[in-house]
Amino acid sequence: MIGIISLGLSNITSVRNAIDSLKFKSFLIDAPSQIKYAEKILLPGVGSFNEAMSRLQESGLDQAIKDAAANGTPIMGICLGMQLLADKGSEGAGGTVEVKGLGLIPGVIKKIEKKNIKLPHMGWNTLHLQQRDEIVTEKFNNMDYYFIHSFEFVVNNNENLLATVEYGGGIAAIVRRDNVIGCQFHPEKSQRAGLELLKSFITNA
Amino acid sequence: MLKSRIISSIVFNGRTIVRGKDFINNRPVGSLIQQVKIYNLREIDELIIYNINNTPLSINNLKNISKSCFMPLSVGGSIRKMEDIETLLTNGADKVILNSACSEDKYFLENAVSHFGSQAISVGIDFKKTQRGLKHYINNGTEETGRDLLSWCREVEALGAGEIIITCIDKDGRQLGYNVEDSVSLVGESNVPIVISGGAGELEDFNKALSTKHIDAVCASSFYLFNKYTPADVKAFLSQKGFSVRDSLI
Repeated sequence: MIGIISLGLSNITSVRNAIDSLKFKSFLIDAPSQIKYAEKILLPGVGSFNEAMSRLQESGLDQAIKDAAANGTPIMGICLGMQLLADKGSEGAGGTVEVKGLGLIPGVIKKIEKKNIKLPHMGWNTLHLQQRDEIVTEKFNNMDYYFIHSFEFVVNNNENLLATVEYGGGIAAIVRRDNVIGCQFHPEKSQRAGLELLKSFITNA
Repeated sequence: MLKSRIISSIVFNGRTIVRGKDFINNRPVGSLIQQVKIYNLREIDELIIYNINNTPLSINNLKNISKSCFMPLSVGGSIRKMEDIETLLTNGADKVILNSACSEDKYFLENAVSHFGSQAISVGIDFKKTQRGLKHYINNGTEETGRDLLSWCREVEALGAGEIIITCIDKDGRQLGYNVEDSVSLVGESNVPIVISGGAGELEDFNKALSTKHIDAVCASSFYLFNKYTPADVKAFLSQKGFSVRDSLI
């Protein structure tokens, strides 16, 4: 069973529909006690880093996710869910207030600051693989995915960077450390390319 | 690199899809779920649904749609409360499109952005070209606000809208081309993504709009509904013109 973490903020329906269409079973996780039933975990999210982290902390799901990661359960963060995997995020005007993340993949979340680009980074962009593994195989290179975000994941170590996209410079698109993977784009909204990637995570992770 | 977005919109009256001209004389032209399935199959980059029966799109309809919609979905029409936004976003919409309600109360837009994030909040701006100049309209093109259009466009961006959808009402449904010049005069300097809508009838219309470099996405309704071309035709054409677009199947 695929456990989908529900933060009460995001478009869980779309993620569930995508998993349904792939003929896998899923259930929603909104309490730490449920996480043990998940063979694989999806952490979707949109909106504010701060708000999402405080919801995870209030419910105790933050520790449950960290424990699951330590136990080797494959976890995939999507969009804001990917950013929550970082050590810390920043909020507020100019990103002055730092907020602690789940700390599962070393890096920080920063507002995208590049010249001559519009924010949010919104639309379909092409994946450039930096590394290949059993989930992100060569066939995903140059596929297009749907992005919608204004903050980016800056990894501490390039060994955690699986794929980038070009938007006024390189932006992290897929990050990974061991059994924890995150994608900045929305696979559940990226049609065939997205469903393929979700399927690869579910079957190969 | 980021692709030019090819968007299709559907106007829904609560029972069937409708199309008219200048936002009026709407006539039924098809079933909602069926059309969403077609657009999903044809791999349009993004879908917009406007509900025009004075309520937001119903949860039932939205849930049904989202089962066959694996591309980004924006929903607009009669969104007046924070609860409306929450209901839509948690039941399958990726973005909501605010228009009249935020024109009447800009704090609604501000609140929506701070609560749901810019990425979930698009703003629709509808205008008519009149002898008195460009005029801003709300409530489905029925009410002139008297607002200064240019400053409204800038204010919407300053308030945190994640995207602006600009529509020239007198071009809508006519398939005689977008009002590119006036649209760009209003939102050309913007730093948020711009969608142009209203009037696409020929492939060249998309080229004209995107060539300005100020427009990030082209939206059309009748153009696709009446089956003159598919999204794949549009993309093949634009690609030939040197634009970067995502491949579509058919």
